[in-house]
Amino acid sequence: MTRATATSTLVGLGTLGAAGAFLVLDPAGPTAAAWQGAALGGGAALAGLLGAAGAGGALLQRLAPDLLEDERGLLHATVLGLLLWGLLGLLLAAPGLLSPAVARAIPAVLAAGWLARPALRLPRPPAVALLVGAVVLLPGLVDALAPPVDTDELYQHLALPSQILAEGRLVGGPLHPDGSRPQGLHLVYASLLALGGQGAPRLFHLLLAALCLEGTRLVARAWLGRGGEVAALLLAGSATYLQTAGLAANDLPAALAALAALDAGLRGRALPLALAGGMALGVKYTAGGAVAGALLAARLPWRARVLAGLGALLLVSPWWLRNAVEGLHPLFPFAGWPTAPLHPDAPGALGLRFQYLEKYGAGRDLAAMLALPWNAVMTAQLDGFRFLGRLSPAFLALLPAALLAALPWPAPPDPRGPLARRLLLAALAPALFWALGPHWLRYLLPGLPLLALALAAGLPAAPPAGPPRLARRLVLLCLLAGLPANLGPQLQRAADRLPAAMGHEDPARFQARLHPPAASVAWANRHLPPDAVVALLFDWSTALVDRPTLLGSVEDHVPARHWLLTRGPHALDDLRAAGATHLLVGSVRFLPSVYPFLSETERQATMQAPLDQLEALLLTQATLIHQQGGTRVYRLDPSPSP
Amino acid sequence: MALIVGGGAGPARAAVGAPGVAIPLHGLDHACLDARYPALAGPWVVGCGPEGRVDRALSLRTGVELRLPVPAEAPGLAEGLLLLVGPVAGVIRLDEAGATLLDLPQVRTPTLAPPATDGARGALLAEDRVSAWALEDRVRTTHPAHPVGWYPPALAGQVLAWVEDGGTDGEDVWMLPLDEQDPAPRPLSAGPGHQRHVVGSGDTLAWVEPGALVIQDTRTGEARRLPVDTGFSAPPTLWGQVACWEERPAPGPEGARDGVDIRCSDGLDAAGPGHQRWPSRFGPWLLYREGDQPWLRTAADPPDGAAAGALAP
Repeated sequence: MTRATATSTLVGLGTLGAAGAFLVLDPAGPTAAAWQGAALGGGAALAGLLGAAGAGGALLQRLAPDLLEDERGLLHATVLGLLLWGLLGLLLAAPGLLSPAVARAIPAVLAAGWLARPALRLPRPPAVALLVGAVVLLPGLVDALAPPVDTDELYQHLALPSQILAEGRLVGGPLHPDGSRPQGLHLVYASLLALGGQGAPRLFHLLLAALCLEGTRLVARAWLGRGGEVAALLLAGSATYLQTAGLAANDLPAALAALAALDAGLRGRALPLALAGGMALGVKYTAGGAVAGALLAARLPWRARVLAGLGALLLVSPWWLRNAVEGLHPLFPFAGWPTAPLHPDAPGALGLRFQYLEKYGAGRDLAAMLALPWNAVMTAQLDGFRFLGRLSPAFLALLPAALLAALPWPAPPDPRGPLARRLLLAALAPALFWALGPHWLRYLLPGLPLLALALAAGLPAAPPAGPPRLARRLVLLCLLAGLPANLGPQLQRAADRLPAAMGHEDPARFQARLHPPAASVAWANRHLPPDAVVALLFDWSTALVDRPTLLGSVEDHVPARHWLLTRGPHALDDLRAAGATHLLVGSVRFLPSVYPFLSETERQATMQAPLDQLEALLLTQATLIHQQGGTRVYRLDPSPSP
Repeated sequence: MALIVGGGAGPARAAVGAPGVAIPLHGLDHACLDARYPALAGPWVVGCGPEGRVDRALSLRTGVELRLPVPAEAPGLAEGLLLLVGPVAGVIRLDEAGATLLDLPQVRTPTLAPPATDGARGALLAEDRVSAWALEDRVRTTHPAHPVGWYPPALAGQVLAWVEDGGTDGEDVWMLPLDEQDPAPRPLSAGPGHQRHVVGSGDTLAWVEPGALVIQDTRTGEARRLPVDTGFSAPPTLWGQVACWEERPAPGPEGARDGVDIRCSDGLDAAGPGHQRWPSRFGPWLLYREGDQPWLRTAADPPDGAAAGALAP
């Protein structure tokens, strides 16, 4: 051993040892329980990624080995592995065989793919990319380690996997409407939950968020050269991308799959495009625009593109079939809510809409649609119905150049024009799809990497000096200008959640602080009978309730309103017949100011009437046994004798 | 101990209400975070401000309105007195001249329910224990117990009572004799079903059992069971031996039900269209709510709280 080697070894051991000891011994550092949770969740997340990449890599080795040839291989292998994971989960859950033990075993089964020795090259991001990634994803790590309080996690992304594990099978129908969506990703989360607790799916999602950033950088570099890597910075500089990074969510996994579909299409590989497209659609229907974009941009004959699209739909079709078999509309709960009253004295749910598009964004008339890019970037609110998110201003700044690059003018045309046109086409599809749907920026997430790539394609090539180089530096300046508004709130949130993530704030108190109904749920968990079944009405704390639950809803509370409107005075009788013994009732108000597009008659009939109906029923058929803030716990009274 | 004087008294008016009449109490119609308020603290109505915390009081005798020196989410109430526990702990005494806060030692332990007070003692429930103490004492004695949260404890005579988690058997009412040298908690009303909503006034306790409201004199142990269907929403309220409670009317001929009404054991009631809920009783006054609007009904004849126990429900 040379002296230099010995010194390096000493420095290496010293720094690692000192850093580790400092973290362990620092009284303000993570508690033993926090370390344990992080290790368990982190271990499960890594095992999951290893399993998905192994299975996906093995399959790609046979189907399209060229996709594994460079660092993008991990992107494609992971997406394919997640698809396999979801399908395997479906096969096991359909007959009711997905017990926690079986769910835990799935990543190990998938990891057997490594036995096929897939020639997978791992990404090796440069130090600066690692640093940027670490900084922007650090708040996500805090999120992942803190107890869950996020609305979508509580009612869906952690709740459904828990219910699937508890039942050993899929849940769905009017009593679990969100369970009737495609559940591929939730089956993945169910495995992770069984393997490493609530931290596991969230840390796994954080890994996918990092992989999506790195995947965008790699795809950009592959197609646009080193300068294209700014596409990844567009994502990293946007709050909408970062705010769910450390949560169990589904927008970023859909984005990851859409990115893989685009890359596969650009490389002329129809089958991987179909598989990744199917994966994206199976995670979230809002990826439809991004998948369409990938198909439009693909370097494939039209026939192959159509077949790839059909293949993607085929992968989602088991979920439609499942709904049909259960007597539901294939696209339930997005469509097919029966409106007819189920009892003669019930009013029925005529006029009930699944979603009010008018609520979101900055309007839907022609002027508002034309101003959408400006409004979505410049006037969005992180916590309001006005786009509910935030993007880097660079998204707007690069738009004119991206449009120009795609034009065959001015002469001589940009030699990268055809590629820029393809990427613009790939981005326009999800952008238009989004514009037609709810104007929440997170619904744009599945197509956001495609949009970032199209915008990066408009940047001039990177010579060593001159105006193009200056232009690139100005883009960085624009990204920096957007950082305080985009990264600032993430850091602020992380600072608030850090004590809970480190184990220094009591989890129950933390949850009750950020999600007040959690206090009532904690009471219910402690005092309700072990065999209680809790129906959640106008509340979304499903994942926190450690008893079987029914219903549960957010925002417009369609499931609860539908139940009350179609069942009228028999709503609680029917819940009792469905097995409910207790009710968790939230406090909501459907204010006219939030629904200005509804006439007073409509608002009264479809929103206020069910609330009034419930209050009347509670007074006569249930017993209040706890109340804290706006959340009440009721025991359903015994059914009156016939 | 610090003495803090609250907001000055508003202009004195005449007594609030009139015998035999129910009137709405405007100015106290902000919904409280805890639905058990507004409520009566003796001849005072304490109610909430726009923030939903108890921060004001109205004298029913003189019409004087007071702002409390500190707002509270769920204080314990006695005649002319509020007991606050938690990071801000103290006793607020209500007087026509103003409200004064007398600091008490902080209660750092999270409490499970509003505290109780009879004006001389305080009681609170915490995880796995109950506690009762004389208000002037700086030390609180605790006793092991498993109280269910939300239901406040009750003080009556020399008895502390609370609702205990009976496991699969439902809730039970337990008691602690405070006059014993080394008191041990014991069941007061247990068994199958849910025994809960215990309240106290003077020497009397009342609680809800399946199909009945029980009123017990703690000095003699004598108890009366009123066969009423109550406890489905608000707890009963007790003034001396007079109890008032919410009652669900029997189903109508075709299953139709009228609204919830309030009955008192001395014959006073609040009935009519809609729901009359959340009763609170002191002397001739019955405070209740229709929606978020508090109403005050005054008995036509001045009742006798001690003698009222003999009245038929």
